[in-house]
This record gives sequence, C-alpha cells and structure tokens, in this order.
Amino acid sequence: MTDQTLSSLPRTDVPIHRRRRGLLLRIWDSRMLYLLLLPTVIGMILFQYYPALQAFWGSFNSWDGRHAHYIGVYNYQHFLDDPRLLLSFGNVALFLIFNVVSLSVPLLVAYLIYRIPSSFQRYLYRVLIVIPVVVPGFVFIVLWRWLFSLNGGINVILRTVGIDSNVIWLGNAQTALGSLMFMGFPWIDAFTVLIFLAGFLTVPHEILDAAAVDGARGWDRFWHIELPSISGQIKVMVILGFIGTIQDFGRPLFMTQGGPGWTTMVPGLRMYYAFTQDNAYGYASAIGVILFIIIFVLTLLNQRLIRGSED
Amino acid sequence: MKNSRVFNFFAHLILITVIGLTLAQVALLLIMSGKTSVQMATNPLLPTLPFHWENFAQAWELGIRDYMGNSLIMSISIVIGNTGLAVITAYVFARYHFPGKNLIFSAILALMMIPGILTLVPRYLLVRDLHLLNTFWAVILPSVFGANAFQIIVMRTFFSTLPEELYEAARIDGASHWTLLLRITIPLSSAIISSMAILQFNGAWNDLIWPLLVLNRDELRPLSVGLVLLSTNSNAPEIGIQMAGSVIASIPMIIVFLIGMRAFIDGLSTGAVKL
Repeated sequence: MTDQTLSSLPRTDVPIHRRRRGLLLRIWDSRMLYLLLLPTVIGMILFQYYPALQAFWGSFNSWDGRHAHYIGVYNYQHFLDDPRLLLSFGNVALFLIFNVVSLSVPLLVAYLIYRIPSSFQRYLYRVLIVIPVVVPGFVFIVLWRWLFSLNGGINVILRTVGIDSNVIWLGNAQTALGSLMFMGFPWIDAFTVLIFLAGFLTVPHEILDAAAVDGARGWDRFWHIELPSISGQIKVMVILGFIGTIQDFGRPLFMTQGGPGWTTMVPGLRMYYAFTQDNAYGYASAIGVILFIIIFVLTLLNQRLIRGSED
Repeated sequence: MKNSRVFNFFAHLILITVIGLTLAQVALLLIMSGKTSVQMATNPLLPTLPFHWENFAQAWELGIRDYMGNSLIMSISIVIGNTGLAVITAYVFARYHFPGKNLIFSAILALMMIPGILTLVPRYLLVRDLHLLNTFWAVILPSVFGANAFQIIVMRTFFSTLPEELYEAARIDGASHWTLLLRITIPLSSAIISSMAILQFNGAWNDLIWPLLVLNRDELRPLSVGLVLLSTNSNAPEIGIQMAGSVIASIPMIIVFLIGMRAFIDGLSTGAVKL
C-alpha cells in the first residue's frame, strides 16, 4: 500500500458533477476506496444480512440446525398453542410501559441539575452520576440476586424498619415480575441523564427571558418551554428503550429463568429456550421475525412522528 | 427570591437522595466484598471490621484470574478492530465521492434496523459452520465486522463537519491521503472516537448471552459469564467472595473511564445535539 496508489484517489474537493468522465473510469479511480470499504461490506453481509435472511427462511421451516424442510406458516400458527409465548408478550408489554414511566427519573434528575445555578455543583452532580457506569451490568445481576434473596438486602432493610419480611422476591409468582422491574432502582442511567441535560442546556436564554417577562415561571416554564424543547431527545430515548427492552432477556434468564412457573417469561427468552433446549430453530426464528416486525413498524412510526412534529 | 431558594433546597434534596441510592449500590459492593459469611449474617449492609482482604485473593484464585485474561483479550481486540474499521469507513464516506457511495451507505444505515435477536440463531449456526465455536474468534469476529453501523454513522457525521480548508491546505503541502486521515481527521475527532471506543469496550465487557452461547468451555469464558455462572452455581462461593470478584471485574472499567471520562462526557454532549 504505497502513497503512489493513494494519491491517485479522486480529490475530495471536486464536486461529483464536474468530473465528466466515464463511470467505469471513475470506479477504477476509486479502487483504493472500495478496498478500504471491503472489510466492512463483507462483514456486514456475512454477519448481518445473511443471518437476517436466513432467519426469515428458517421461520418457514422445521429446522434443527442441519436439516430443514418447508412447513409453511406452521411455526407462526404454533404461537397460538404456546401459552408460554402468549404470556411472555403480556409480560414484555408491562416491561415496555414500565420502561417509559421510569424515564421520568432521569428526566427529573437532568432537569434539576440544569436548574441549579452553581456551575460547580452542576459539574459535581454530573460526575456523581457517571461514577456507577464503571460497575459492569453483570455485576448488578450478582448484586440484585442477593438483594432479593431470603436473607438479602431488601428483607434486611424491611426487618430493620419493623416489617417481618421473609419473601423470596424472585421465587414468588406474585413478586418475581415486579422485582425484575424494581431492579436497578432508582433507574438513573448516566447516558440518558447526560443526553437530557445536553438537551436542556440548548434551550435559548432569549426565549426564557421573554417568557419570564410574560410572567411564565415554575411549572409553566417547564411544561411549555423546556419540556417541548427536548421532546426530540425524549422520543429517541423512548424508542431506544423500546428496542432494547423488547429484545432483552438477560435479566429473566439469569435472575429467574423465566419462573417461577412462566411468570417472568419474555419472548426473547422463549426464543432462547426454543433454540437452546428444544432445538426448534425454525420456531425460534419465527419468534425473532415477529419481534423484528414489531421493532421495524414502531421505528417507522416513530420516524413519521418525529418528522410530523418538525413540519 | 425566596421561591428560588426553596426550589434549590428541594432540588438538592431530591438529587442527593436519588443519586445517593444509586451510589449506595456501588458502596454496598465494596462493603460486602470484605465480609465473611459470619459478618454477612450479623450485619450485611453496614461496614464491618476486620475487612477480609483475603476474599479478593480467593476470588482471584477461584477463576476470576483466567476470566479476566479472557475478557481483556476479547474486549481489547473488539475495541481496536471495531473502532479502527469504523474510523476508516466513516472517513471514506465523509470525505470522498465515488460511484455507489449512497447505495453502500444506505446498506450500512439499514443495519440499524436489524435487531440482534433476529440474527441470533443463524449467527450461532454461522459461527458453528466456520468451526469457530469455543474459540475467542466466535466472540471477536461478529463484533468487529458488521456490528459497527452506529459508530460509522456518528463518526461520519462528525468527520463531515471538519473544515475543507484544512484538508485543502494540507493537500497543497503535499500531504498524502493517509496523512489526511492520521494527522488531521483523527486528532481533531479524538473526543468522539474515544467515546465510541469506550462505549464499545463497555458493550464488549458486559456482553453476556453471546459468549455464553458460543463458549462452552469454562477456561475460555469471559468475566461476565464466569462471574454470573459462579454466583448461580449450586455450590456458589460465599457472597463476600462473589462481591470481591465483582469489584475486581470493575477495575478495568474504572481504568478506562479514568483515562477517557472527559472525552466521554464531551463526546456524548457534542454528539447528543445531533440526535
């Protein structure tokens, strides 16, 4: 790879319409660029597009990973006979609603930090919020498994305040799902707080001053000026949260194995079990395809919404 | 005036409570990592003396040492490979025109619409058919190739905002295209590149399900899988030792963030405006 070949690259500063040369010649001139893109393109096809297409294909087959035969939409019809899967969609719906509601905590935290006059204190709070990021997520699985156990942190705290609690939070059908949601309390994620904070900081002072002259303060100012101005960030976090939550099955897998019974089953986990325990690769693919369609439709809808609000 | 003082008071009160509850979990990890099972039974939540440092040595010998090595090899390879590839790709898209550019870039953009859950099963079979199961490559290759659409898009946006005059001036001075990449693009974008690299390291270090699927042999497992399986094991070590292992698992993240914290916050703040 010499500088000689590199200097034959097309110049970046010449607009494309001015280069009146044959297409083939331009392709030949750009050969070095294609070479640079080649690893990304091959990787993208091999590890993303090919598996994605194979998942669609597999969802119409009875497939054990080696042999497959076509069975039409049977895998999709099978959904209706799978109470575990139907239940799991109800559970994931609850997780999705909870995820949106819990965004109010980072929103509140970001807003309060933004409203604090002292820039030193603002900086201090930002640092304090970022500190827990150094603890890897899987460590919180270990920690919260203990917190929820019979003689774990939550029961110890309840006993200290006089409630004689002997609940095994993750082992009880009434409490397991709620416990998985409670995990991570008070749900402030540094990434989300920083994004919201950055949004608040871009609200122009002129608008705030003008509003103050008009007598808008406190709640009015938050509700009519500051909140609408970060609606873009909120939408992005809602949609990212949605995409993450609907696919996630790490918590149920490692905290409850989807139990007790099937009370904490989610579609991703049902897919994982179909794949790892039942060797039903076609059925697992069908669940993956359904989740993909839900994500796809929602993302499109969201983009429509964002575009609509900008017009 | 009085109103704003009341507001400030409650703002601090709420912030300290909420952030305190979050930091308390980090503190709890540290406190419990020095406890024996007797101390755990009598007083699990508050600090107790003596602090049993030997928990750390025991966790280390129990397998954390090997898991740590595996995690470091895989995560560092992923960060270097993925970020390097993303920088080159983003640079080509940001600064050059060539036939098919829009088509290829759209294909990269569309990757954002392919969720990991859709490709999980076929990706496993692909890795199996490439005879990579139970090798580090099974974890590294899918993360380096084809999993960097987000990084490419963010970096391309940033690279295109760099002033053309700089490139023009360098070109007049006879700079090669490699020089333009290495001496202009990368130094001017170090904040965004390092925050992408930190996010990538964070993701690789935390990845749990994929390594669990493709690495069945205990001696190959990363910290995430090793530690979680250790704690769910029927003859799991006592809580103090699990927590000591958890603290050790956080050390590389602490180092990464100490080095990159400033860049991370800056990178995130400047990147966020374009969301």
